[in-house]
Amino acid sequence: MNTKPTSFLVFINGAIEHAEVNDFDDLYLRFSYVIGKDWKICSGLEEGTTQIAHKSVQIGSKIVFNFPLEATFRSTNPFGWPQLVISGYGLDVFGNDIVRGYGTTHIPISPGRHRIRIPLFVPRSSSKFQQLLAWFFGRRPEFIDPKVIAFNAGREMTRVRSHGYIQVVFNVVTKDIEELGYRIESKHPSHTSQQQFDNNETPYKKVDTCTSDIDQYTQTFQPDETACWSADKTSNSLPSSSQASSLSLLSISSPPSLSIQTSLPSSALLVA
Amino acid sequence: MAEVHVIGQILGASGFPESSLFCKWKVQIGSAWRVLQGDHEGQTQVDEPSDKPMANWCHPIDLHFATRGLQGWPKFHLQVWHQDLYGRNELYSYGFCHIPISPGSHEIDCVTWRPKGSLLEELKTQFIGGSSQLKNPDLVSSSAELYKLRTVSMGKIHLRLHVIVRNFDKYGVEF
Repeated sequence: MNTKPTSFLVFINGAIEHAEVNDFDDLYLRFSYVIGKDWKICSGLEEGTTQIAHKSVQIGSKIVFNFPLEATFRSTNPFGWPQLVISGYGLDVFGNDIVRGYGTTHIPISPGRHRIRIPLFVPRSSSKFQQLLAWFFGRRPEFIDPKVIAFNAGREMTRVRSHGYIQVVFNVVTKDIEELGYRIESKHPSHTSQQQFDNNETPYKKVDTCTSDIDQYTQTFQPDETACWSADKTSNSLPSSSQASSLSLLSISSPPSLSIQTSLPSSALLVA
Repeated sequence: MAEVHVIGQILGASGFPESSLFCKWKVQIGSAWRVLQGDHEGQTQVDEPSDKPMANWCHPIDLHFATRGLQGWPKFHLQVWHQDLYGRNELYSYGFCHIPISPGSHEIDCVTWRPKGSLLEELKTQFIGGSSQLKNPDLVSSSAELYKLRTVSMGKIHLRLHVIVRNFDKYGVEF
């Protein structure tokens, strides 16, 4: 008896490895998953808090968490794919608990092992005076519900400052997603031209697999071929920066609701 | 009907002369396509990075299309805007990017350009701010009309997209 499955499962495990930040020495993270309405978390913690971690004088500028993540999701529809939302907090010089940064990534879709670097960003105060008050009283602008950063709506009102990264490792396995007719990988990986790589410009580019400094770039260790997008010849085409053998998947999970106390000044469009 | 899911992020931008940038994005589809779920346009946060000259937006993209044909495969129209310290917004550049056709994960760099004005207009841009804008922003992906423009290169927008397809094999499409 072989009944067709009606839903698929995504099983992930992994860890929040470390944070690379320059401005401060200690950090703790709260994480949560934001999922669409067709999704359900079958097992695993849907939200949690890491330990309070400090930098080590000897090791350098990394704050190591090594915090385990494990979850199973069930769904009928890839829309609303889970996102991991991370919010970082710490103590400032006056002893107040302040927000250090938010970050979000989609859970990787292709099965395999993925290392993802999530940039951290923190809301900015509206003006220098507000910034001074915030620093003095310890009431920095923060999102009421960090899950807001996982959504599209309302982001245009937020002004942020990005600093630092969080390195996360995911191992992903899916079940029955092909049975439901979804193709998540291509049979024929396309080859990209590698001359467009310009390592000075961006940390998002993938590098050659085994020899690279794996802390700098994200890498995946998928056993099957990965699909890359080769540059086409039109004038505004985008050369894909993926390499034939490695593909990094970054997904940012949306944080819970966002409230911003800063207000945008009225802006006028200038047209020459 | 075949379905396409696009899940990913507009990661950020690099290579622009100033920081404090945001991006307005919009998905353009052909007549055989329909957006079933997800927002087809939006605007990212304004990011001013503290260390590297690279704006981080981390803007989630989650789109679900239904289609009857391959023509008109969705593409992103992207505009990078700059917000200065007085809160004024000026257009920095335009770019477009096809959503990759093959299922799987893709890291995409979208190169961008801005229209170049006359000498007087360029001087104005330099000293006062503001920039020339296209009257019809959909021109960025129209192959037939771009010959009329004179443009200047700007930086790159970085996207990470994962494409999932469904039911295309019923129509004989090979990926």
